[in-house]
Amino acid sequence: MIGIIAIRDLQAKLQPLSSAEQQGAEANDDQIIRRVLAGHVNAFEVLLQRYRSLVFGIVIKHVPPESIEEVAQDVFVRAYQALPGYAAKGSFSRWLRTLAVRSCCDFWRNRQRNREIPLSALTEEHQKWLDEILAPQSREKFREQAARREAEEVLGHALDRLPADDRMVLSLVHLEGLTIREAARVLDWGMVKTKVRAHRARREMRRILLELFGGR
Amino acid sequence: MGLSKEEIHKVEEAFQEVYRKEQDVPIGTVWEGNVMRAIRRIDADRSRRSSDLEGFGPLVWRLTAAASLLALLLTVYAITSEPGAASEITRLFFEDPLAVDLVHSLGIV
Repeated sequence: MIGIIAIRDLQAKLQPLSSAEQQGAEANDDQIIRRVLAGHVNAFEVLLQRYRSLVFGIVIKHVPPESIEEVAQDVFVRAYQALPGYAAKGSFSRWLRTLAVRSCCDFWRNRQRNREIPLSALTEEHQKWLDEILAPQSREKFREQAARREAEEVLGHALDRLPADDRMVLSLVHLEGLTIREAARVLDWGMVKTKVRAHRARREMRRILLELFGGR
Repeated sequence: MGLSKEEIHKVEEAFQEVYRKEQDVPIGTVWEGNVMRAIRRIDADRSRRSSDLEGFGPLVWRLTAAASLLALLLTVYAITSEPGAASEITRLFFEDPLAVDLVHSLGIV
């Protein structure tokens, strides 16, 4: 059964604790990882239950709704496969966050490689939305306009025109509001590379916006 | 007419608003089961591969011994049978390289 659950309520509304979670609830991540690596594959379920909302929270921001579950599954499968290489240097959650961002990036890379992204033109409704958003108005009204479906669609149009890496760095830095240091950590990039790519992605986004709305 | 700098900034602000908006996500109760099933499958494949390799291990060592023995026998045979044949062909080749080609040396013509 599929239910629509608000992301903030995920933890509370998901299934009750399974036996695996009950057994491993007290254990820390490193202990559980050691158990998984020793061949107790079911112990991985504890990590899955502990970090599913973290992974969903990242994936939901970066991939279309119909692909969220698939990409989230890919994150955990990758984590399981890469577990022998996880050196427990940092925290498991940070490592998993990087895997999640990388999986989202790969998702867009695959889509672009397979040319699955339709680069359709904006409609009259989008143009109308732009006119309304640019009109002088109160903060409250502005927020209302920004929350409209057209806003999501225009953002989608613009992001679809960016290469996968640029899309991710722009989303993390300029849309989500992460600092360069935080984004670099999540992307597993150097600070300089992150800063340069974020700047370049923003410039590219502005060029795309001019292209999209140039003739208005 | 295009967008001014201020207008672009305003659109970017709207994008931030829409991006940070809380979203609903369809969570299937079967999702977790699917993930664990995929992981168990990977684990089973891994175990099967390693058990295949374990079975192959002693065979490799047995084959190594047999291959070494065969190499030794061939070496002994090469030394004991017609010791002058190879040097004879070499001498003929250096004397008249055009006349001694591969075909001649194999005795086809």
